Amino acid sequence: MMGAVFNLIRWEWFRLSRRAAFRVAAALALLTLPAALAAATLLNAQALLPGTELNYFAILPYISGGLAPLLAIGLAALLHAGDLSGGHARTLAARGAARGAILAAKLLTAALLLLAWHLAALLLAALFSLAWAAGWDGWREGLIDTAAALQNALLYLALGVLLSHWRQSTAFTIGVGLGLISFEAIAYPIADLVGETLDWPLADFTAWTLRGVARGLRGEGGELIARAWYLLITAGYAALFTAAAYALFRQSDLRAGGE
Amino acid sequence: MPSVAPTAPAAPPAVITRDLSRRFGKVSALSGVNFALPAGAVLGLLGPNGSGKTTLLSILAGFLAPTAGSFALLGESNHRRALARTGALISRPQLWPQLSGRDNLRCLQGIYAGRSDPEEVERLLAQVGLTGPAADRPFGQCSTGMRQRLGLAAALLGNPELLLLDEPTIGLDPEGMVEVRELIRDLGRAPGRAIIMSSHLLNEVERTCDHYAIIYRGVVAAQGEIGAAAAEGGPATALATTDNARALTHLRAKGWTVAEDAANPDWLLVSETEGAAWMAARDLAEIAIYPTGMRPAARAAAAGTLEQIYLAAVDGRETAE
Repeated sequence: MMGAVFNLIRWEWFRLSRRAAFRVAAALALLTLPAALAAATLLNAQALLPGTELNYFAILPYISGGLAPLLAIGLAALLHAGDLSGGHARTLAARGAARGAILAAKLLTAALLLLAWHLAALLLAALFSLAWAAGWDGWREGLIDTAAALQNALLYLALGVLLSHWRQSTAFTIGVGLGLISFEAIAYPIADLVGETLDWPLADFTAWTLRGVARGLRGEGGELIARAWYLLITAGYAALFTAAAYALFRQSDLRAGGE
Repeated sequence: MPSVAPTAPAAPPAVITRDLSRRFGKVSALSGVNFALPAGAVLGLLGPNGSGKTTLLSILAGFLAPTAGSFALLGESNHRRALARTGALISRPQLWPQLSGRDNLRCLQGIYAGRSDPEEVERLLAQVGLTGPAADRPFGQCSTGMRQRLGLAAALLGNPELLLLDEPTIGLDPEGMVEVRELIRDLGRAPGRAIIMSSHLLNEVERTCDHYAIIYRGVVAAQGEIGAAAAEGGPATALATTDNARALTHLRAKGWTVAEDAANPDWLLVSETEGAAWMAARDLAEIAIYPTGMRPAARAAAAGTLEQIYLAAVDGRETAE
């Protein structure tokens, strides 16, 4: 089984690396990292007093936390929904490949790409620290934050995989996935504000939502032990979404493309 | 104690279905399909649009699950293992548009067999008539005919023992249709390989296949051997030879329409529409088989060309309903 999965991953990468849309998206996603760090350097230079140094590792969660869920949804749509709606899942399964192996290979390919992107972010933060900051202060926190951001991205990846297998449509996966992320980005700050104004702890009610656990993972208002707890919850959500996606994939007809 | 020569076990049917049914919501696409395809046979699956041909092939290929009934491919109880030995081209070819034809085949070879064999890829591209720059064109920019050829090449990867081909000549120009028909006929000559080919075209099935099944409104309305169909009703000559079994195989390989006489197994029925029986006898001399008798065959009262059988089966079902 594992041999089959690794073989499928190899050919997933073969196909993905030849897609112009993927190359452009990957280039943009990678360029965003130095651009964001450079912008932070410039803004810091203007805003802070001379001699004050920027902690690049502390900036990382804001970049990866915002962008990684979008990348995860995009990868899920490209790898899962794209092959299902285009009828290519038929071609993959034509010689009896297990559907579990196909799903696992696509999921792992996307997970590896997200890992690579997070590692690139960490590496760039280190390079910027070497070039424009006096030391390595905060690298430990940066590492933990990056791991948490990766875990958060994997949660959204699992959600994207579930959406892909639910409707087998790229447009649906991207639309609903990005719609949800946008809604969270708007609704949660409003809920926080309303909660503070009315002195009513709305955050307690939203702690178990995707955004809530993402906040917990980022350690907003929490101890390290609490973050470890949120790590488990996030893993549980991701496992649940993946299992549901697998159940759908196993039972579903493999449609011809364009249906 | 006398020694007993070992006998080869009879090959299991390439495909066998039992009461295979499939519903799409309230619509019944297949309603209890039963048929068996002998190993090494080439079966033409005939039927009007919406009769259930593609649904049946999609179930056999593992793309759709049956609502009821069962089936087995290549005598395997494990369907996934059987699929590893089965090539399928169902509906349109579903290859990756950004990859060239050559890269699509490389990729599928790696996925299906976990190996890289550029020679096989080149041989298949040549076999389906895609060489030179055509093989390097992205699949998304290929014409319908080129896509169909690439789909066929993909189905042939790994030299499968069973081929499921859904209207393989659709979208091809007349020249391409002839080439693909000849290719399928050649493929069918490989020992032990079975092919199911769906088509709307009766003459295509007549020219390419040795068995037929007519599917109409989700049931098999008629099935049989094409040689027998032609010989039973049309003008035929009965031919007895020194080795009827080998003669039958050899004559079919030579393109004759020939079948065993169901009424008298000592005789073969050679369709006169293809030429005189003595010409068939001359072909048999190549493998040292000689005629021991020749006579005009009794003609069945019922009309027996594939077209007549098709119309009778379809009309019969309509009357029964």
